[in-house]
Amino acid sequence: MLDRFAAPAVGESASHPLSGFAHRFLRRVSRLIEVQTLLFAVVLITVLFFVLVPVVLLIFYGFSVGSPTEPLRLGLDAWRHAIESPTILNSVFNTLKLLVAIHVVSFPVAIVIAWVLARTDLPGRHGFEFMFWISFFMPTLAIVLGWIMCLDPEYGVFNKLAMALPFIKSGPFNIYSFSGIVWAHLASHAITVKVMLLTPTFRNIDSALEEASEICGASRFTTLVRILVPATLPALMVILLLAMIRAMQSFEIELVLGPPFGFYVYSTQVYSLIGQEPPDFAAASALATMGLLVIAPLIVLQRWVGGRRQYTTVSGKMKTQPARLGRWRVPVFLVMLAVVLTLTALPLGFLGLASIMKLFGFFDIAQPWTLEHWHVVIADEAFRQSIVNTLTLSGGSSIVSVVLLSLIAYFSVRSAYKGRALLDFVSWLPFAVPGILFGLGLLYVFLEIPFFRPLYGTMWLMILAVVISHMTFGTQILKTNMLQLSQDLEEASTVSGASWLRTFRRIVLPIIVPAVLLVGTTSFITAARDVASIALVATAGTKTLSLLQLDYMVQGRYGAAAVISFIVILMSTGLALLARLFGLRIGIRS
Amino acid sequence: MKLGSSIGLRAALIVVAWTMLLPSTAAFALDDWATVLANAKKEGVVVVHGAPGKGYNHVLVGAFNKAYPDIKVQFSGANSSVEIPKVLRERQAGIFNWDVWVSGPTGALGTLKQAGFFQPLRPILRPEVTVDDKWIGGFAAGWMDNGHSLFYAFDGTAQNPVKVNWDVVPRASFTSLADLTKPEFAGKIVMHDPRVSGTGNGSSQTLFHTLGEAGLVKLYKNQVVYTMNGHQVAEWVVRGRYPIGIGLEPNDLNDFQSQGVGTNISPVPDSFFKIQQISVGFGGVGLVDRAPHINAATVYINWLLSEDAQKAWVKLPRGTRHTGVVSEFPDLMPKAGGNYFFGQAENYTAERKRLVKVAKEAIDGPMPSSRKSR
Repeated sequence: MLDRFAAPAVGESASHPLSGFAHRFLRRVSRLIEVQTLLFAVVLITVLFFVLVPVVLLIFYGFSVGSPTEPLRLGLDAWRHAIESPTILNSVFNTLKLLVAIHVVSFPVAIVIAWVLARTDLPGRHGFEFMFWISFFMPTLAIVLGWIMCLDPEYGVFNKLAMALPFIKSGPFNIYSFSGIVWAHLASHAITVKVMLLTPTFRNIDSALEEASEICGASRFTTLVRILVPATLPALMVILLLAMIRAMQSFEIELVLGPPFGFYVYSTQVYSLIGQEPPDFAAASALATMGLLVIAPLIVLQRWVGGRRQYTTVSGKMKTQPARLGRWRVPVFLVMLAVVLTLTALPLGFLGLASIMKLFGFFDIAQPWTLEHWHVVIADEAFRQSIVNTLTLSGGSSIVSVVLLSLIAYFSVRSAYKGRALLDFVSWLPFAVPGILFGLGLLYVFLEIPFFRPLYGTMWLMILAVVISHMTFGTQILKTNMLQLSQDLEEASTVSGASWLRTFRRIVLPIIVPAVLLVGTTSFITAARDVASIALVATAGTKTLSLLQLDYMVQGRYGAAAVISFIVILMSTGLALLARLFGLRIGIRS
Repeated sequence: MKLGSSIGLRAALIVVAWTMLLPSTAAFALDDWATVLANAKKEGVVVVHGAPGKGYNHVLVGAFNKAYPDIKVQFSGANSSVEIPKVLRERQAGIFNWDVWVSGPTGALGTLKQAGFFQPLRPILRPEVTVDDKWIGGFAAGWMDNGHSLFYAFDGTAQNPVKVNWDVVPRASFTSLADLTKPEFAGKIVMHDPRVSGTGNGSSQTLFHTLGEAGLVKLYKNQVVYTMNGHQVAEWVVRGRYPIGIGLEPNDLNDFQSQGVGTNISPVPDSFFKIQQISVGFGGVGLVDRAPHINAATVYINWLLSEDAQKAWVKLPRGTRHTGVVSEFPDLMPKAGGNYFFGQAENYTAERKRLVKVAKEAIDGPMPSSRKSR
C-alpha cells in the first residue's frame, strides 16, 4: 500500500507483470477505490474550491469598472490606475528596498540562532526557543508603539538617555526613518518567524554529517555554511519565500512610521485603496493580482529547487549529538538572553504599561496609572461573548488546520498523484493575497452560492477563513519537516507488517509531532489574533477578541486594546507551553 | 455587480420567499406608541451600525440601554470601509440584518443610498421629535439627502479644522489661514489625509472655501504629513512634533486635554474663515430598508433624536442641532449670526469628490487620464 504514496522508482513499470491498457485500467480502478486516493481527491477538490474560487473572483473584480452599486461593467481602468499611478512605482521600489534590507540582516542572524538552539549544548536552549514562540505572539502594533517610545527623535527614552551624555547634542536615534522601519521589523517578527521555522529543520539533521565534516578538518562555521545550510536548502527557500511574501503584506509598521518621511510601500497602497470611502476594491484587486504575478514564479522556483535533489536528513540511522560550545557557552548564553529579552520582555512590558496607563507614553501627567482599562474590558458584555467565540474559533481552527494541512503536506511531499503539484501550488495562494481581499473573495462565495448561504454568520465560515489564511504557513512548516524524512523509515515499518495507518501513527507522526504542534498552536493564535481575513465574514454575534480589540482601537481606546492583547498573549502562551511540553515528550530530542 | 445573475431561477425564488417572510414597514403604523413599545420589547433587540471613536459606544449603546433596558443593542462600530461592502453584498444575497445606520452622510449617501439601503424616516418619527423649534434652522434643515426623507443629521458641530499647539507656534506668526502656506510652517503641519473621503476631505472643503483651489494646492505642497489615524494626529500635535493639526477632531484632542496635556492647543480664530462648515461627523441616522426589528428601530431612532439622547451626544464632545441642549463645549456649537454651510449634504457631493481629486493630484502627481473621467 505504501507504494501508492511513494514516488515511483525508476524502472518500476517495466518490471510489472501486466502491461498495456488492461494494466493501466486495473491500476486506475484500484487506485480509485482506495481510501487514500479518495482522501486525496476530497482534499484536492476542497482546497481548489475554497482557495481558487475566491482568488479567481478577486482577479475578476480587478477588471470591474464603476461603483459597487452600479451594474457590472468590465474594463482595464483599475489596472491602468494601479500601473500609471505615480505613487505605485515608488512604493514597489520602497518595498523591494525594504525586503532586501530586512532579509540581508535577519536571515543570517536567524540561521545562526537556530543552529545554536538546535545543534549545540547551550544551557536553557529549549527555554530560549520557547521565548521565540512567545515573541511570535506579540502584536506588531504594540511593539511599534513601544519602540516609538524608546526611539522617537524628540521624546524617545533612549535619545533622552543619550543626550544626558555631555558630548551628545541631539538624539542619535530616529524611528521615523528607513533604518527605523528596518529595526522595527527585526524587533518584531522578521527574525522570530525564521528562528521558529528553522530550529525544527536543523534539529532533524543527522549529526553524522557534522562529525564527518569536522573529521575532514572543517571549522564549526564552515560546517554550518557548507553542510547544514545546503542540506536544508528547500526549507531555507520556503522560509525565505514565506518571509518575503509576509513582508510584502505587512503594513502596520510602515503605516505608523512611514508618513512622517513620505515612505509608502506596496501594502500601504493596497490598505489605503481599501480604507477609502467608498473602497476601491477594483484597484486593490488589480494591485493584489500584480503581487500574485510576482510571487507565482518564486513559488515555482522554490518547488524546482526542492525537487532537484534529495534532502532527506532523518533516516533510520540518524543520531542527534549536540555540538559542544565549550568556552563560548557563557558569552553565547548572554547574547541569546539579550536577544530574547529584546524580542519578548520589552514589548510585553510596553503592552503591560499601555494597559495600566491613562495615556500611553505620557509619564508626566498628574496620575499616569489606572486600572480603568481592565475594569472596562472585564465589565464589557461583548468581552465575555468574544472569549467564548475566540475559544470556539481557535479550537476549531486548530483541529481542522492540523488535519487538513497535514494531509496537504503529506500528499504534496510523499505521494505520486499527478495533482500533487497543483495542490502544493494552490496552498501558497492564500498567503500571497492580502487577508482582507481574500475575506472579500470568501464573502462573495458564501453569499453568491445559495448552497453555502446558511453558513453565513456562523462560526463555520470563520473557521474556514482562518484555516485558509493559515494554510500556506502551516503546510510549509509540515512540508519542510516531511521532506527531511527518509523513505526507508516507512519502508522498514511496512516490511515489518505495519499498515499505512500504523506506520503513519508510529513512525511519521512522532517525528513530525513538534511541527504538527507548532501548526496547531500557530493556527490557534492566528485565529485569536487575525483581523484581516475574518473582518468581512464575522457578524455582531461572532465577534472575536481580535475584532473587539480592533473596535477598541478604532474608538481610540488603546488602553482597552492593550488589555485584550495581553489576554490573548496569556492564552496563547499557556497553550504554547502545553504544546511544547507535549511536543518535546514525543518528538525528536537533541 | 452581477455575480448574482448566475444564481438562477430557483435561488431567485428562494430570495423572494425569504424577503416575503421579513417584516414589512408598509404594515407598520406609529399611531399607538404603547403598541410600538410593547412590540419592540418582544423583538428584544435592535441591530445598529454606529460610529467608531471613544465614547460613541457609551452613547449609542449605554445611554439607550439605560432608557430602554428591555431592548438589547447589537452594535457594530466597525469602519465603514469594511462594513459598507459587506452590507451591500448581504442585501444582494437577500440577507437583511440591520435596523439602524448611524454614520456620517458621505458613505451613507454616496454608496448606500444608491443601493436602496434606506427607507423613508419620517413615517416612524413621533410628532414631538419633528417640532421645528427644537432644531437649529428648523427640523427640515437636518435632511442630508436631496429628497429630504432618508438620512437625517442631528449633529451640528461648527467645524474649525485647524488647531495649533501655541506652546510651539508663536501667535504673532499665525494671523491668517494663508499663513499655513508659509515656508516657516513647512514640515510643521499634520493633516488627516484629504485624499480619502472623511475627516480630511471635510477639512479640505472648509479650507477650500477660504483659500480657494490654488491656496489648497500650495498648502499640500508645504511638506505636510498625512495620516488616516485621528489619534495619531492628536498625539503629534500634543507632543509638538507637528504643532499644527488639520482635521484634528475634538474628541481625539479631548482624550489628551482631559488628562492635563496639550492644554494650550486651540483652534485658530473663526474670523480666519470666510465661511465655516457645520460638520455632521458621525451624527446622521437612517432607517434601514427591510429592517428586521422595525419596532425596536423606531424606538431607537425616536430616542436618538430626543433631548435626552442629544444631551448624552454632546458629551462626546460634539455639537448638536437640538436647541434644548446646552453643551459643555460651546466652541463646538454654531454661533448665532455665523456664516455656515452643510458641506456633507448630498448637494455638495460633487465638490467633495473634486477636492479628493485635487488632493491626490497635488500630493501624488497627475492621475491617469482614464480615472479622471470616472
